[in-house]
Amino acid sequence: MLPKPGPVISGKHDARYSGSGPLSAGRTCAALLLACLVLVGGAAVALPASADMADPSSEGYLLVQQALGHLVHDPADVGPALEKVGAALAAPDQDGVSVSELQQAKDALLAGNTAQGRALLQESISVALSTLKPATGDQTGTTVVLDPLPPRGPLTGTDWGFLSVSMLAIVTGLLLAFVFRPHENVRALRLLLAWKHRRQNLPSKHERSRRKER
Amino acid sequence: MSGHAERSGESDVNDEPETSGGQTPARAPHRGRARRILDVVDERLGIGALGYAVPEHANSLAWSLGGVTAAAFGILVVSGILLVQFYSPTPETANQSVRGIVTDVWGGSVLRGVHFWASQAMYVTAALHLIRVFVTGSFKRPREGNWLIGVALFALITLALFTGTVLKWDQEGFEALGHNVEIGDLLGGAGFWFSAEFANQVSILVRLYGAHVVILPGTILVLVTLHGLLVKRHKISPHPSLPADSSGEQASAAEPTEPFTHHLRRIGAFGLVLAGVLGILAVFLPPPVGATPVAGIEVTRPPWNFWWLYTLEDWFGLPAILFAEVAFFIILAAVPFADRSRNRLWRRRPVPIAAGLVLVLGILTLTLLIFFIPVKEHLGGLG
Repeated sequence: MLPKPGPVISGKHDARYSGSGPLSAGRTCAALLLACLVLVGGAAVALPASADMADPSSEGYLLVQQALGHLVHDPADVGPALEKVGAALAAPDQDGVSVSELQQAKDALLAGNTAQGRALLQESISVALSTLKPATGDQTGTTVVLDPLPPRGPLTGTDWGFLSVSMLAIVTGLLLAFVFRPHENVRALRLLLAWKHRRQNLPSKHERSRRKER
Repeated sequence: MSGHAERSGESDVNDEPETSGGQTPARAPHRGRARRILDVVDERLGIGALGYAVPEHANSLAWSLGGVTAAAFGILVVSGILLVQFYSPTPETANQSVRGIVTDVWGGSVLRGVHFWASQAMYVTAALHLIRVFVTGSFKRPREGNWLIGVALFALITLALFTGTVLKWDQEGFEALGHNVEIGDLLGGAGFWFSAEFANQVSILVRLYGAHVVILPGTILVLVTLHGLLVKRHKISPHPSLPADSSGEQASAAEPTEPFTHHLRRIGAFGLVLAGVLGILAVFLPPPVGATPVAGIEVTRPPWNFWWLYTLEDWFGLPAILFAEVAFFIILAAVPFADRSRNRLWRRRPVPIAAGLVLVLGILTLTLLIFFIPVKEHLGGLG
């Protein structure tokens, strides 16, 4: 049996590297516009390629993993998982997949026994997973589909310690921010600058006395 | 008013304040030991250059948001350095190592939480900083270049968020990677780096890890340094509701100033508050770790920062993500070239302000619409 590649995100990837020429120095606006055109143009060229990228996997073990993924993310809804199991049972490439266990898993899921169904699904692809090479490219490297980590439990002593330090940091920070606050806010600065402006425009003392003399 | 004379006014606008090194002990006989040590250090490292004058209005919270963003970046770097000691960036072990950090490493859950929430804080404060700079017209001549650097920094922050999402290597992260790969393909040659085939002998996770821990923070650091140096060179922009100098490009010489070091210590105080808030969030709301990834299904939603793109993707397909992101950053980059008037006050710039408002409201609306969109498959290769 040939070693299987790990699961990939999509079946194939377009590997054309046309490259974009360096932008000559010029006005920034023009450069930005040009950059935009290059990006939009590049995307437009690549769009037809992306359209035919859809390549539903025909590998049985990958379909089983997908079924497990659906069960992990929505254990209450076995519909999508059953769909994937059905596809895996009908898949032309069933290398490393135990069809009998897969069938048992399907029966367990249909009977509403999700836990047993999951265990059987995972077991059914153990041979396929054992032949996986280290993941490269965009392969997942997943062998066992684990549940999400449960949310945190009750607060521990360490948590309380971190909370105390955090509170202390907040109080100290607020205190320092108050101590180092600006001497004037914008409104006071406006008044101050207006006052300075008025004083600057006042005639000098000498000029005022001359005016008085007149 | 007596305080103004004490706080350096126009007289010490120069980059090397009188208090910096160079004064002989004879001229300052009563200096404390700490001050003398500072002078010795300053003489050798030139830290006195940080004492340049900044106008008083720059010490408000709104005008310190860039500094708060930098504080968040500092927290991210420190927590990130600690996290990489326990993280394994290979597909087979990545998700398990994140679980190990949360469950087996002392304080690991809080550490990861602080890192996660600091990334959110950096994204939010950077966005608020951009909005403040836009509303107060601080991007205008001669600060257009610095605006562009700021926009580039925001793009890098978004990329860092994205790569961080992938690194936890759960279903959500893997689906995000799926989008990354397909957008790389969409870009044709320009997207070669995002393609899995670019270096197919290694996992793309390893390459994204390299980007997340070296390329992106390194580039951010370089650009932040440049950003700060340009702020010093151009000086803090005038407040739009205060009189400016005759050129209209600088704060009035009559406005009181304070040394930049005072601005820094206030930012430090805000940073301390931020660190405390992040600690509390990390304890009470630790980031989740999802199921180990499976290829070929799409059952999760992206982090909230990308919801507006998810809605567009749902309506117009995957290319919409690329076009919307490109359009968004082109619009941001075009701001200083589109709004060229000398007016900084928002009331006197109705068209740019209205356009900015439409953009922000549009993104918010698209973000909220995700609650009405069921999770569905968008990736081309899903079977």
